[in-house]
Amino acid sequence: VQSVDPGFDILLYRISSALLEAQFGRASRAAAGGNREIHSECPYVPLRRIPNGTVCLELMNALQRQARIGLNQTNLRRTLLNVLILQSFALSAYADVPDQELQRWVDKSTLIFTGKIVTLTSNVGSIPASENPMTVKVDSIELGNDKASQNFGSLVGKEMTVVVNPSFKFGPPERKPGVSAVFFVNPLLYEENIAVTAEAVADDQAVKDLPTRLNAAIEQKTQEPIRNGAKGAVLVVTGIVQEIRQLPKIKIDRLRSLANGRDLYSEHSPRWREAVIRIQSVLKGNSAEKKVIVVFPSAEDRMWAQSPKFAAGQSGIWLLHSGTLGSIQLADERARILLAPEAYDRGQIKAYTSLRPEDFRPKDSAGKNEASIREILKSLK
Amino acid sequence: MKANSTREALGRCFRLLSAAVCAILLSGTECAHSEGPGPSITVVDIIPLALSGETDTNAEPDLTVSSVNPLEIAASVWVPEPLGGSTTPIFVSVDGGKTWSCRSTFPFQQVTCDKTIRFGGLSDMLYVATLLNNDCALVVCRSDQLAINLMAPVENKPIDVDQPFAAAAMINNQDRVFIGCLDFNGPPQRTDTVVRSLDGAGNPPSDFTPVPIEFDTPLMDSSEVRPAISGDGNKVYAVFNRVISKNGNKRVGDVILVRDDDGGNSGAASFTALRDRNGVAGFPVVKARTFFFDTDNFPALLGRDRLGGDLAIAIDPRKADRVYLVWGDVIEGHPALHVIRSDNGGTKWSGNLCTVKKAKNPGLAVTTNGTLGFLYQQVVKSEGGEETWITNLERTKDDFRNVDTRTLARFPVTEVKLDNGQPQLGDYLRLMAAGNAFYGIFPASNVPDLSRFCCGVTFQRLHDFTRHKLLNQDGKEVDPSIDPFFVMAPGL
Repeated sequence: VQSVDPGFDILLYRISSALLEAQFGRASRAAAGGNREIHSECPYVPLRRIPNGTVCLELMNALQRQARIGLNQTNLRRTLLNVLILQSFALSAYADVPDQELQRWVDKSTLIFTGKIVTLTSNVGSIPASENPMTVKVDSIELGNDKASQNFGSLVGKEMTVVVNPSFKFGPPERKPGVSAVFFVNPLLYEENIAVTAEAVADDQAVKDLPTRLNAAIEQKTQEPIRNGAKGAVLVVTGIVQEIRQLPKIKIDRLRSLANGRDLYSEHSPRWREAVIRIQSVLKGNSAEKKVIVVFPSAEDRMWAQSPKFAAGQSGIWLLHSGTLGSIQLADERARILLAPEAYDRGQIKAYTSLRPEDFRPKDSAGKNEASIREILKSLK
Repeated sequence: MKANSTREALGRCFRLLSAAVCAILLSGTECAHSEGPGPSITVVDIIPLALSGETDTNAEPDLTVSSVNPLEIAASVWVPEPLGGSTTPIFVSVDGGKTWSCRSTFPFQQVTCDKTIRFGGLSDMLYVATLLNNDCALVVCRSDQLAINLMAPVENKPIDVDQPFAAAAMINNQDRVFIGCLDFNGPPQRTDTVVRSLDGAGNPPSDFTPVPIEFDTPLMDSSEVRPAISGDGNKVYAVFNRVISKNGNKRVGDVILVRDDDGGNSGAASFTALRDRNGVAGFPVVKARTFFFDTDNFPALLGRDRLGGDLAIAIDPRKADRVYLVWGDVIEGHPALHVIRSDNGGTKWSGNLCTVKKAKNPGLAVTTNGTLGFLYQQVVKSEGGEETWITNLERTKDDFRNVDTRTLARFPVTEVKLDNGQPQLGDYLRLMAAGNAFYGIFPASNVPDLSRFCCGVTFQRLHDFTRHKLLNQDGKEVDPSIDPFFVMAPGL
């Protein structure tokens, strides 16, 4: 069968939905509004890639026969068998997860691990059975981060509760103890154990070439901040900090004027300083000047702790920005004032920021940091 | 006459006894106690078992108890998301504070700090107010499910706000939410503000509107604004520090009390019920006293932790006009806290009922049986001469003539880290009352040494009381840090 009848397509969908629902349940967490919702149906995903039409025909015939002659034992067994086959095809039908979708799973996940389902219960007290939790033992970490390592050491061997996000459209692997899969998760609760929400669950059945493609997607994710930084930077330079100085009075006065003439004296104040950078080479952008100013927060306050701080004599690679960037957002007017060009050495030099951790890399003796940035810039062309 | 003289003699005895207790306390006795019958005090380190490896800053904790079900308690601290996720955690207990769940459901990935948390009224809606990202935007989120799911943002503006401090109650069948804060978007020199929603639980909630509560034109206002709502919901108070002058790490200013007599909603006249002798709204409870304030180039520290303009307010739940305040000043070159009382809604005040030297972070509450609770953190000298932080809970039914003082926790000042640029204890803690019980939260060192916790303590995280060590779930030792500790104590 080259093409599947749309009506049968929907029939397949409904049966597989029912099976998946029976397996995974639909009690969900609503992302907005903070209210629980019960989803009665899976989102509709048309099954257009059923590889073996013969089996489909067999199934259709079985269902028709069942409707015709009623539910005697033989036919019941046969139907169940066929339904199982159908289920396996329903799952394999999801097998061709596009790269874009896999990348989305990776991008929205804090942690990705390979694990084995231990029980179909929760090991965290606040997760009720109605959430259809499963306890999963972590076998290996595919994507972690420093914070997780610092707080939990190795997560390998630990058991955590996983609740599958109901918005996950693709068929997860079979939900039963012993099944291994890759879990794309975000944190949910910490009690006697950790509970996470799985944004996606996948195995080799669900995603072709999963290990290879997963590695590529993770590599892209880990490179993304620096790539975005490089992409958004108006200037990328190597250089050395010639001096650190206070903001000029004119900028302080203008910032004050934004606040009705007041100093913003909160402890969260950035305590702006300027690093005058003597440019050694320009990796991106045009700079006729030999120097630039980098406006940076000297405050160690929690609000600014992540932003690079500079000292005279420091050398490295700067990704320089001229306005708001990603999660580091300055009010437009404030950015305009801070980044106005300044008089310096009888000339005028431009001012930029490098607020995100990725915006500065120190110079290393092997030149790896610079080479890495050059590589990224090359790939962006 | 005889009875009077007997009472006076007894009063003198009590005062002597109190003085003796204070002297013992200041001299560094291990635990200030006056043990008595009745339910005991509960102290719990709220970091759950799964976070046994946690070493982050847990400054400025806040806590709220549901008025629908007092077993439901929520707390907020500075701790970042433990797995590095794109949310921020808050803490929830559903068993009266015995065990705690850390829920990563505050839906913002940017840096957050200065969080405070309140339950509304019978709606059981939970509100969290915090500062967000590098422009210090005020964000308010809510949850009617004890934050088991992602909380819903209900306010995300304006920028340039400091130290939001929330109060909430059901008034006229609607949750009224009042967030005291310093708002740089206000009129010149009038920055102290209450951001108000008259129906926080509505769908959608009514707007969170800034209502300036500074009606004079001082040099500036200080960051700390503490709102409080009377038990009958009719009167909403807020206290703040008006700064007249500043010099280095010291500020000179008035303690200003404002009041609204229509549940915080008197239209254009909101918070103008109290006036000074010139008819300007806002009553100067204390005038022109000096207090410490840590600033960029002029550090003001006590026990290695920064100082601000400590304030606390409590209203007797039985009497909307009986107001207690804690305010801070400088005595002998050190910060000190004073407790005072008004019985007429804020224009006539007692003298100092209690003074505590070398102290900060006051919390104040009154139970339904009229017990006043005073929670604070103080630096004392230990027997070995070592500077030591202690957290004390004082309870009194007679304005400190008789006081039950309990030292909840103590730790050497040297355990306050200096290396990460963050305050370890921060600018506030919380004490509140629900019924006839006090509930509070305070930051303290988490070294699991029972001799430091005179009223006992429960650790959820892995610990070894014998070796005084914390452990992670792999059995490895964990560096000590500051944790949030829950306390529950009955009224006297």
